[in-house]
Amino acid sequence: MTEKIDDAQLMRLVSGGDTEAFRVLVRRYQSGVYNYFLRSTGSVEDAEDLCQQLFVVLYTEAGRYLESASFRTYLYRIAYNLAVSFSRKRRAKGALSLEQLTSDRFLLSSSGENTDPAGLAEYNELLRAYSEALFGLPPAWRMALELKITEGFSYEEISRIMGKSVSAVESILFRARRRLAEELKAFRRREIGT
Amino acid sequence: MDCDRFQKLISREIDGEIDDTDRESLRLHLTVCSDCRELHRSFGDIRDLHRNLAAALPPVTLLDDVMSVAPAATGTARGGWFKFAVSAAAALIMILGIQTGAYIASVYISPAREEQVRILDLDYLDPYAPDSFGELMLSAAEEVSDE
Repeated sequence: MTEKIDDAQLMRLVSGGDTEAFRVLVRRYQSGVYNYFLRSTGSVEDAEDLCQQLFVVLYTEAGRYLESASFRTYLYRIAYNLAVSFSRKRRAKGALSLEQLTSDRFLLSSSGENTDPAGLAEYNELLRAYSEALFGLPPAWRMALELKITEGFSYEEISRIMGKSVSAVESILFRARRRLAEELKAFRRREIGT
Repeated sequence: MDCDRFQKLISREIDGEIDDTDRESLRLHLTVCSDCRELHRSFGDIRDLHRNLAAALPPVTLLDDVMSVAPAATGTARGGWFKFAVSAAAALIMILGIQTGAYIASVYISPAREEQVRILDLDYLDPYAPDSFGELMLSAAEEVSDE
């Protein structure tokens, strides 16, 4: 029954202590936010930990959610804050190695559009280069790309999630793409040279 | 040619955030500028590569893990708040040593900030009610943290 209820109604139930409604919300969003944290942190363990923190905060603070606001934006705003707080602590503790950040187990797709083994291998190399370049970006740039490309938020929504102006979001996305384009260009040049 | 402007338009077009007028002017520009055409292709590649990064499945135990913690955490939320308030109070004392109480009041309880919260529709994100003691403590702690 609760599976068909919209997010705002579920949150109302959750604020009244309805754990079944909360289970529905977790099932609905766990995959998206888990991958968001994975791309933000580069670590499976940290993504799991942040995911758990996010849903605990969502449950304990359910009464603070106002139905006039989009639940998805609200959820990712909390997720963004957790990821930013995490990246500050990580910076203080020491960054993960590039090998950890671009590990095959969670970063590389096996698909692409190639079906022949050679083409697939080449595409995976390109994906690897892309993921390396992605993790070389400042965390906020990476998170903005994730919110736009994977989650499909509008500039306006991302500005609410990140607490920045729309023009700042636009600028971050442009600079992130330009940096990635330069990195990929350098990668292709190296590939041709070898 | 104003390539800087068109390069930003390319990014907006890739994001689906461009209006018809700008789209048309970008289309015309791309027919005459090879550098911008290359950038357009490159930004499109980046979008496709990003979409092809593997999506991982969340751990199967996530729901149970959350359910084993969340309901219990509700009862202890006040304890967590109290610990935070003590830490934040220490931070506030540091700030008071530097700035006057009047300055703090003008910054943290300013109409401009309330207006910003209202416009952005973000009041629901504040962990404490506007103008509450908790909010004042949080703002002070954030100020120290940013420094």
